[in-house]
Amino acid sequence: MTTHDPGSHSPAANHHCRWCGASIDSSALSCPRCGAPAERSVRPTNSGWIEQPPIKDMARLRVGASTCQIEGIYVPVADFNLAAGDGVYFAHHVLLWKDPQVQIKRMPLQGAFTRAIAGLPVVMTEAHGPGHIAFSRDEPGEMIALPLQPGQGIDVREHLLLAATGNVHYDWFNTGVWYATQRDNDLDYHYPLGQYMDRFTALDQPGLVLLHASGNVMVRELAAGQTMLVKPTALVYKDRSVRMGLNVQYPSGYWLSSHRVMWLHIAGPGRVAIQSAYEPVEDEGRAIATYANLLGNYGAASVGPAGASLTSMPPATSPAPASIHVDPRHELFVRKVREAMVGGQVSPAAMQALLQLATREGLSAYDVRLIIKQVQFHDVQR
Amino acid sequence: MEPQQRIVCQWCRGQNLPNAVTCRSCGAPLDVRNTVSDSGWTAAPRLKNMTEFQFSASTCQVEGEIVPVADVNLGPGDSVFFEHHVLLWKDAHVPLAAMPLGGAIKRMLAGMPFAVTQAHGPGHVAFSRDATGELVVLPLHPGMEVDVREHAFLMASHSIQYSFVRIKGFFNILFGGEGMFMDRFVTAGESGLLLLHGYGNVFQRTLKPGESILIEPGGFLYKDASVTMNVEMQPLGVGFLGGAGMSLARMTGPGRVGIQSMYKHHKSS
Repeated sequence: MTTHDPGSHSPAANHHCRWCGASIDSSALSCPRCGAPAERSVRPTNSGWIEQPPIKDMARLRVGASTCQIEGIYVPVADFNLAAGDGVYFAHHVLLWKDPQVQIKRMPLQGAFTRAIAGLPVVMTEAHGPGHIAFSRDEPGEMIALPLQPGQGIDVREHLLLAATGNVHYDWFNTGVWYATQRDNDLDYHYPLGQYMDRFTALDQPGLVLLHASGNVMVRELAAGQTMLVKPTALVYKDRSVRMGLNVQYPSGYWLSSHRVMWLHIAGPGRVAIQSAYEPVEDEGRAIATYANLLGNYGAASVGPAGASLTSMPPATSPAPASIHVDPRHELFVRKVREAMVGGQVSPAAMQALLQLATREGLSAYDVRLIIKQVQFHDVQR
Repeated sequence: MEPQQRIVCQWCRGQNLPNAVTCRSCGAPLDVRNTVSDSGWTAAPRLKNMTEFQFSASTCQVEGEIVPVADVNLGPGDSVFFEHHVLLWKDAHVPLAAMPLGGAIKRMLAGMPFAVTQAHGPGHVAFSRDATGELVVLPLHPGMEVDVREHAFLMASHSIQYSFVRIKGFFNILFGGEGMFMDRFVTAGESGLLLLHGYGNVFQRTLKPGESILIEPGGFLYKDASVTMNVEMQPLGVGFLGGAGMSLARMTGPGRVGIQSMYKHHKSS
């Protein structure tokens, strides 16, 4: 197979990568920054998703003075050739092989105990050049190269990181996506997306984050206020501007409360990527007492079937629902909802008017129903 | 008389007729160059769907690409042996029999198959494994010895002697992801064929004498018997959890080393 190093050619770039915007030499087969095939056009599906371009076998990425070669197609390997002084960090279980002279050591992390409780790797490992070090994961899927420019950041679902260059800042945050079920007098909290997500930010230099997703990867750009429901474990990465919440649906025709579908409710603006192979969301099936919805509030269980408890006891890490907190842009809408309510209910005519107003404010019909439920819930509690 | 030109397979060094498009000994495509990474790993040849190759009086056809099937057409008098869990289908008239093995108790304790099964020709018998990966075809010439991680071999021809080796050393037993034993395949006076299934993608590298490389033990797939393997602890630092380290297998040449890109990490599996 003939391969080609785009970085080794003259800088006379004559076109740009259609995926990441990097300059590409006219004779290059792939983008030196993200590995996207140079000839590939970006064509969305009818529903608006774009397939993340699979990185070709033996494509080379350039990061500073180091390179990374992607090898294989089923379970691709990221083979870094680290220059002296360059480094990468990774969770130790993705290491495949390394040159003996490449030094590895533990990367200091804050909150090791909390990470251990949340099931995140307690130890991140860093490796320093010069020399080769290679990483791979344990499932068939695609390698995703996310070049970050200074100031750029990306949020990644836990356990998907393969490696990141040393100049990318690593942090993690509480997803705020949870639901609680009641057992006797106790509430059990569940995190379908994981309790924490990784956050990577390039500070003063460009960096590279490599992820491995299972199956194929689809990406779309959500407009401001545009919402979508995806399976929680299908999420791969998102821009920081994309908000998240939980949505629970009960398909009609089932009489058991356990027949429900857990969704991750996401709202733009920003990019979001999903993987086509994902683990099933573990759901013990007990009635949901409360859950965190898209607006950072607590959804009333009355969204679910009759018999669900209305008990609301947020976890210690979350604020109590003293009032409805919505995006300030939508406060007027919440007031309109309250005005439209008679005896805690919204008439069909008032609903029509609210939906028209919602369209003008960039809210979906689903958002409207959520806000109504929150107002009902909040006012009942009060 | 002009000598007939031959095409030498870059994977197994077998000789092929000038018009051949795949190697008759290992099935590797002859019309593409070997894929070699900058760091020196050669990707195992991607066997085209329906590729055929020969061994003894038998043929093997590779079917599928994601979890490929090795469909063996055994000639009369030929036989192959395999672990029973890789058997996919067979002709009704192909007889199966247990192959006698020494050290059954040791094998059981080590989690290796208690019995290896033999199928005798003539007739078809087909094998596949349980996850996405690649078939690795290793024609073994007389005098070759290959060590394979347990449960990774799909089948071997009857002319190959099968045994197992204990990985020596306390550290190896405790931390080696491939367990206490490896399968060893040896050819004596006759060539043979060994088929492996590696998870994910498979890469091979030939180490020079004294050259070393550190591999995650779970990624190890096979090696020449001349390659030594020792598990080393890599300390990761000091302080909280500073005593933690990771174990890597140091492979030292001369000889070939094969790795698979998909593996269950030996501490998390």
